[in-house]
Amino acid sequence: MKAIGIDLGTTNSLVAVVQDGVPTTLPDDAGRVLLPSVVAYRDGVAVDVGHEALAAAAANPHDTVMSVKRFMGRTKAEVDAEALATHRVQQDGAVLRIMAGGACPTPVEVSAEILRVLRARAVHALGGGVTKAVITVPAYFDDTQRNATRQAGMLAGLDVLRLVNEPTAAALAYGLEKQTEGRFAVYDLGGGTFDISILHLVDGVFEVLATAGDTRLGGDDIDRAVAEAMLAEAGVDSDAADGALRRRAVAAATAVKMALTDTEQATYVLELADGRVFTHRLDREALAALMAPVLARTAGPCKRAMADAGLKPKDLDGVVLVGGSTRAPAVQAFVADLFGRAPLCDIDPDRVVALGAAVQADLLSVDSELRLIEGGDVLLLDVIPLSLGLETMGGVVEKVIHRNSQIPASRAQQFTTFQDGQTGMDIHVLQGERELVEDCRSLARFRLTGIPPRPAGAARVAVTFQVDADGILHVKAREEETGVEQSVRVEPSHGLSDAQVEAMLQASLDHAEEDVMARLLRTAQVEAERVLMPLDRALSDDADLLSPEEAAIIREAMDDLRVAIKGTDHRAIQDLTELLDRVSAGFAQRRMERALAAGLRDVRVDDLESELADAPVGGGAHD
Amino acid sequence: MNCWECGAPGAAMFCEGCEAVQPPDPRLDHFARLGVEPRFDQDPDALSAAHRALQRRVHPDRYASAGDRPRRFSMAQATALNDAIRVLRDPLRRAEYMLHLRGRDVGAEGEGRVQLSPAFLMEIIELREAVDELDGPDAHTERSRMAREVAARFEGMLTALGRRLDAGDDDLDAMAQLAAQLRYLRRVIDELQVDDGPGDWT
Repeated sequence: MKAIGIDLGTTNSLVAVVQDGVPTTLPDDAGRVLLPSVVAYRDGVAVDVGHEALAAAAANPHDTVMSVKRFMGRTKAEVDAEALATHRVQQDGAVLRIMAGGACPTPVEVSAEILRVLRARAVHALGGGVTKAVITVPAYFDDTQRNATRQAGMLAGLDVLRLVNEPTAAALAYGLEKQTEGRFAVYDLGGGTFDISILHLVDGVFEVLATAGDTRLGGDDIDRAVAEAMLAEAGVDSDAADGALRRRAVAAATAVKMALTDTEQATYVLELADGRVFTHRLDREALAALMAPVLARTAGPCKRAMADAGLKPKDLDGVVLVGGSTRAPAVQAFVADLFGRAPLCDIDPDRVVALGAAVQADLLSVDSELRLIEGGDVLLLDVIPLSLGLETMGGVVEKVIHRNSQIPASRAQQFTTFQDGQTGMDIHVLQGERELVEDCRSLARFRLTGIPPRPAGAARVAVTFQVDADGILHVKAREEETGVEQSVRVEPSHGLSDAQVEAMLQASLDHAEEDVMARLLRTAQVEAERVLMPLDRALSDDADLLSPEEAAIIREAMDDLRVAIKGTDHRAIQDLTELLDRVSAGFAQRRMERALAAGLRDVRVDDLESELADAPVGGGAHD
Repeated sequence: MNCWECGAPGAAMFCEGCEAVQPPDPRLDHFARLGVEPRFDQDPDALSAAHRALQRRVHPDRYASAGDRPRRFSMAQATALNDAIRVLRDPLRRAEYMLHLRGRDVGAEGEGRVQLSPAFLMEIIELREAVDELDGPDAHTERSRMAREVAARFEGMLTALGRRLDAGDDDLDAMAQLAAQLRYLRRVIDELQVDDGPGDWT
């Protein structure tokens, strides 16, 4: 049985399949491969999907659902936060509903309508028996959005073998076509999202080296920018333009943008609210100027991904363009300038993602055709897009698995108790790139209880993060002496909107230095306290082990450190902590010897060990 | 280990008899897992190639339509391979790992903790003071120059540590001291680079 590949796009969707060893997009009866991602509703039911629905959209804007991908896995609050929401929506418990044509379908249901049409197209072309599919998603889709996409597939009667990231799928299609090895950047400017991925293809393995993106940036933004300019040109106050006029302007903008791909000048016609018809010419240069601010926003993610991959533009063997928007000459010029090389665009950027999805679908099926072909048997090694970590003392996030780590992945981090006799430990799982807890996304919280009471620092808890091949996180906390254990299955970025992902990433860049400083200061203060606290007690208990000079040196070092802790210079604190550590090392050693000699009469070995264990909090498992 | 599927003895990643994927062998260190020599001196491309070749065979995608057990074992194998390459690909992590295999944990707490020499600490304090005092129009250039200088020192020390490891040097204390200093230097390099921001390709 054939497994199909589906590109469920914001603007258009496609279906492809590997036939006779070659990935091919499947056309409809009229020979069109693109299915507009548009669903028309009437009297509470979906009546049209695709071209017909799109054609009727201008006449029945309120009965037509467009760009449903933007609503997947989102809440009303998130949709409302986006100024240009095109549909009226309502929140129904945990579910978002779109108001259209007497129906109120969920985004999952609308997407399922599109998927059903594509599936029927495949059944028709292949002669029945299509149930398995790979569906593509933007690399930066969070877990909620991925789950929604998976649900839509199920609702359409598909067994979703895997969700594949769109840029990765595109690279897969290119790799197969070109049969070359090397490092590629995939620049994917879709209707609603921007993704950049850096991949390495060698020995039939596609390694994703790094990925970055912006989930609120796409060709639609270009269309809106052009539409705004048109309205301004026509003398319409943008705020006064109603939904219908705005839609007509966006449609005209899309048309003029496409026309300018092949011509130097294009004319658009816009029917205004009062019935007047406004006609205007736009040339390529003017369009490029309107596109520039949108394109400029793609540079940051590109540089971040390249830095994460440890590559310079000269290390790349090619830059691949994906997404209909990359047809525009201005986009190609921008990418050529950014990467210092002309981009590859020999596979139709509209089809390349679907073709790659078909490749992965074939490779995941039992009767794969490609596996039998020389060079056809490729494997994808993917990464996680956002770091996963834990809260430690002082509200600092300790990253356990870093962004762009290859999955599946597993990492253990050791933590110690902070207080004498502490029997419980809160495990707080976080996602994001920032240093402080309040700036990251909280994924889960649980408490490990039953830790045997010990002096601070003596009980050790190992926290293990496991991320499986589908990106699902499992967290386990285990006290090492007794083996007490707690675990939780976490859906990474559950409930995290793509806007939040983007905002979090942006913020981590904006605040990089400030963050690092705050983290360093808090960590240094906590460390210093850990050295100071037990020393106070030790000095009063075992003062006789020290000469007055030795005691004076230690006290002086302690006083200096106490002064430094109140300040904001983390380096002074670190340095003075190290110094105190050194001047008191002999003392700790003598106390240990005394305790052993005394047969542990008064002092428990644990106490002494905890003094010696003056390492940083949570410092157990640095690499 | 005996194969979980057919019981044949001596199964490694796969059973020689029935080819079933096996759970990862906990006795293997990262070098053995990737099938490379346990040396500091490694060809990064060869390391990646070893990792890829094994992932090609054992990755969960290869078991998409297999039963529950082989799927779980393939996941565990792929995880162990990713962990091995993560540690070995980075030269400092690799050096620390070699010390770990010889019983010395550079990141250990408590009694086994590596104490940095006072001379090194003083040097770092002075270096940081020098960075703090940077001011004026050339501060950025000067900062980059210092970052390069520290990076060059880092590379030199790391190479020296690698040679000692590969020569079978027995002075674990001295090598652990070197590794701890390298950790410190890497932090300094990271801090020096904070100012550069994500804007440049360079």
